[in-house]
Amino acid sequence: MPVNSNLHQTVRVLRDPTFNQAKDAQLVPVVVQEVMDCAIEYPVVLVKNAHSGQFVLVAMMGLKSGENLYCGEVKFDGHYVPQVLRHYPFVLQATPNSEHMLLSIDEHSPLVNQQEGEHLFDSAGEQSPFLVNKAKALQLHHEQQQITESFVALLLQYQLLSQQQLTIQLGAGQPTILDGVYLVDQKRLDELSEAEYLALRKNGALAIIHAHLLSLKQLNRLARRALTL
Amino acid sequence: MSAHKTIQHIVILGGGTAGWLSANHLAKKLLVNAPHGMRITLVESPDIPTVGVGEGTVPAIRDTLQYLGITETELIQQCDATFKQSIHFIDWQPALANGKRHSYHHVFDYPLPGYHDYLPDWLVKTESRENFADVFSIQSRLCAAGLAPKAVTQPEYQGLCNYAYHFDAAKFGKLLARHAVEKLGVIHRQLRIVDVCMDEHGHIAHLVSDTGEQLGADLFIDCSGTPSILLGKALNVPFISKHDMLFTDTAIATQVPYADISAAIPCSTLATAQSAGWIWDIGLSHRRGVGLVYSSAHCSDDEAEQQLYRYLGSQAPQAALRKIAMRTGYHQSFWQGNCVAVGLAQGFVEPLEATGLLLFDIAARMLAEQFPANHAAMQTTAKRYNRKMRQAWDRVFDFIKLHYCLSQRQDSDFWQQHRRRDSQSETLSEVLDHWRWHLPSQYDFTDRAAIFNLENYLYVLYGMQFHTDLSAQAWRFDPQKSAEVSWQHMAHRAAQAKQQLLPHRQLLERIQRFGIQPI
Ligand SMILES: Cc1cc2nc3c(=O)[nH]c(=O)nc-3n(C[C@H](O)[C@H](O)[C@H](O)COP(=O)(O)OP(=O)(O)OC[C@H]3O[C@@H](n4cnc5c(N)ncnc54)[C@H](O)[C@@H]3O)c2cc1C
Repeated sequence: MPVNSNLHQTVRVLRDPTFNQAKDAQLVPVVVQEVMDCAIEYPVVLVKNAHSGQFVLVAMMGLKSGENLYCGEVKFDGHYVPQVLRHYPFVLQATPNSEHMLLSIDEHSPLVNQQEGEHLFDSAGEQSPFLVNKAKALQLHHEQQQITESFVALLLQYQLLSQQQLTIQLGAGQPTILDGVYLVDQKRLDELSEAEYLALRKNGALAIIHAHLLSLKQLNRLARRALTL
Repeated sequence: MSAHKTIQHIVILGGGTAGWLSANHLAKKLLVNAPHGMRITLVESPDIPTVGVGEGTVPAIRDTLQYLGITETELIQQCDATFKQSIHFIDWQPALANGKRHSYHHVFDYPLPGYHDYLPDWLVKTESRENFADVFSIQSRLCAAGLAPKAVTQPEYQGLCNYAYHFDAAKFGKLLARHAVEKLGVIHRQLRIVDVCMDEHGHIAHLVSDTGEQLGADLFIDCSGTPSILLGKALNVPFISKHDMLFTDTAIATQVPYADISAAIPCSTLATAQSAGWIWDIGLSHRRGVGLVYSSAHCSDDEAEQQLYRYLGSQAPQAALRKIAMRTGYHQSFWQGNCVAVGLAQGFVEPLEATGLLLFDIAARMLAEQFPANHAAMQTTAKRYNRKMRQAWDRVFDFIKLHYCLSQRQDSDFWQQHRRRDSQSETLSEVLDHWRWHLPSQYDFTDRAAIFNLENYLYVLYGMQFHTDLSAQAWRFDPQKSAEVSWQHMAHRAAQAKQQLLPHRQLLERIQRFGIQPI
C-alpha cells in the first residue's frame, strides 16, 4: 500500500532488533555494495528467482529452505544486517505505466500499529524525518539494485557463472547438498583475456567477484552454527 | 573459369525463410566477418511476397538457433512464439466404438529408456490398452494439462521435455534477416531479378535486375520459392511430382484472434482430419494460424471453405482466406553446376509434420558444412549432396504417407485411395509388412539421412492403432514387464513434472517480461 498522509497520519512503526520477519528466510537478497560486508559472515551466492527465473544475489543464512540461523529470539546474531531486512516494512513499488517508484508499506506487518514506534507524519501531515530518511534510503537501495543487475549481466556476458552443488558436512552424518546455486567459476576467471580482466577491474566487478569467492568459506561457519544451535 | 579458383562470392536469390536460413548458415560457417571470409549477398524482390505460412517446427530448430547465436528470448519476444510439444492428431481414424473421437499425440520426447521390454505386453493386450503415448512417455499428459515444457528457472533451449516452437513466419523471417545482416555480415539487396545469363559451360554467369544491374557470383543459391527461377527455369532441371503418393495440392489459410486474451494456448499443433485432407491449428501468443490442406480432385474449393468455417465455428477469422497452390515433389537434382536450390525452390511436402523448415535447415547446413574447396570440387560435392538430400526427402514422403495409409476412414475416395499399395513406395510397403509380425527396431532405420526414426514411427504407428501380431512369440517376453507397470511409472513421473511446470500461457508471459537466462 503506497504511503499516504491521509491513510497513514496516525500510523507508527516499531523498530525490531530481531528482524523476526526473516526467521524463515534461508536466502536474503543483497546488492553488490553489501557484498564485502556480508562476505565476512555469510556465503554470498547467486540463485534464480522462482517466479521470474532471473538471477538474484543473496546472502545465505541457513543450510536448508525455511532455516535462518541468525534470526534469534532477542537479537539478530550477525554483524551485518542486509538492507532489505532493515527497510522492512517499507518497499519501493513500481507503478504501472511509469518509471516512477512509490514508497509503500506492508500494513499487515506486526511492526505497524497506532500506539508505539516512529510516526510517519507529524500532526500537520508533513512527513516525519524518519519517513524522509526511509524514502531516501530506499531510493538509494533501488539504484544499487540496478547496479547489481548490471553486475549479474556482466558475469553472464563473460560466461563466468556456473551452476554448482554445494556439499556441507554436518557432523558425522550424511552430508547436506545444496542445489540451484550459481557461483563464479574460478577456472573461467583465469581464462579471461587481459582486456576482459582489465575491464572487470576497472568497473569494480573484480573486487566483488573475489569477495564472493572468499565468502564461500563461510559455509563452514554456517555448518558450525547449525550444529551448535 | 579456372577449375582451382576458390569460391569467394555467393549470391542467394530470395528472402523467404529458406533464403535467410541459408544466409545465416553459410555466413556462420564461411566466416563472412573474417578478413578472408566469403562474401554473401542476398537479393530479394521488394514486391514479390514470401509464401508467409510455415508456423510449426520440430525440435532440431533449437540446435540451429543456438548454433547461429540467436537467443531463445529473442525468438519468444520477437516472433510471438509459443512452445510445441507434440502434434495432436484428431479424427485420423473413425470414431471409437464408445462414440469418442479418435486422437493421439506424436510427442517429441523419446519413450522411456527400456520401453522395448514393455512394448510386447502393450501390443498383446489389444482390448484394454491405454494410449501408446501415455504408456511410454509423460508428455501427452503434460500437453493435456496445458503445461509448458520447461520450468521458469531452466536455461535457454533446455526443458523438462523435448520441444519445438510455433511462431509467426513473417516475424521469424525478419529475425533471421536482422541476424544475418547485423551479426553475420550478409549483404542485403532489394532488387527484382528479370533475367539469368549463362556462361559457355552452362553455368550461371550472372543475374540481371529490372534496373539493369548484373549480379555475378561463384555460387548461386536459389531460394526463389515455388517458381524456382534458377534451378527450375534457367537450368531446366525437371520436377518430379509425388502427387500419386500424396494427393493434397491446395491450402487455404487464415488467422484467428483469441476470443479471450487469457485463453489457454495449446502446447501442440492440432491436426484434424477432414474428408479430403486435414486442418492445422497453431496457437501463437497473440492469435491462431489455421488452415485446411486438401486434394482438389476430391474436394471442391467451396466444400473446403465450408469445412474450414465449420471447424472455426463461431470464431470469425481476422484475415481473409488465402488460397495457396501446393506442388508435392522435388527437383530431379538440387545442385546443378554452380547453383543449389534450398526451400520451396527445391521441393515441397505438405506440412503435416512441419518438415518444411527442417528440410531447408538440413539442406542449408549440409551445404555450409560440406562447402566445396574450389570450382573443381563442385561436381563431386554436388553429386553427394544430391544423393543425400534425395534420400532425406524420400524418407519424409514415406513418413507423411504413413499417417494416411494406416487410416481406416471410409468416408471418401481420398482415404480409400491412400490405402492402395500402388500409392505407397516400395520401402514403406516392405517395412509395414515386416511390422505386421515383428516389433519395429533400430535395424529398420539404418539410413543416416533419415529425419524421422524409430521413435517417431512408434508414436504414429501405434497412435494409429497399427496391429503388430506377437501372439506366436509371446513366450519370449518377460511377464513382469507389463504395460500397466510402465503406465504407472509414467503417471508418477508426470505428476512430479507437473509440480515444476507452469501453464503454457503463463510461462510465455513471464518470458515476455523477464526473458530466459543463458545458463
Ligand atoms: C500451406 C503451407 C503450410 C506450411 N506449413 C509449414 C509448417 O508448418 N512448417 C514449416 O516448416 N514449413 C511449412 N511450410 C513451408 C514453408 O512455408 C516454406 O517452406 C518456407 O516459407 C520457405 O519458403 P521459401 O523461402 O522457400 O519461399 P518464399 O517464402 O516463397 O520466398 C521466396 C522469395 O524469393 C523472392 N523472389 C521470388 N522471385 C524473385 C525475383 N524474380 N526476384 C527477386 N526475388 C524473388 C521473393 O521476394 C521471396 O523473398 C508450409 C507451406 C505451405 C504452402
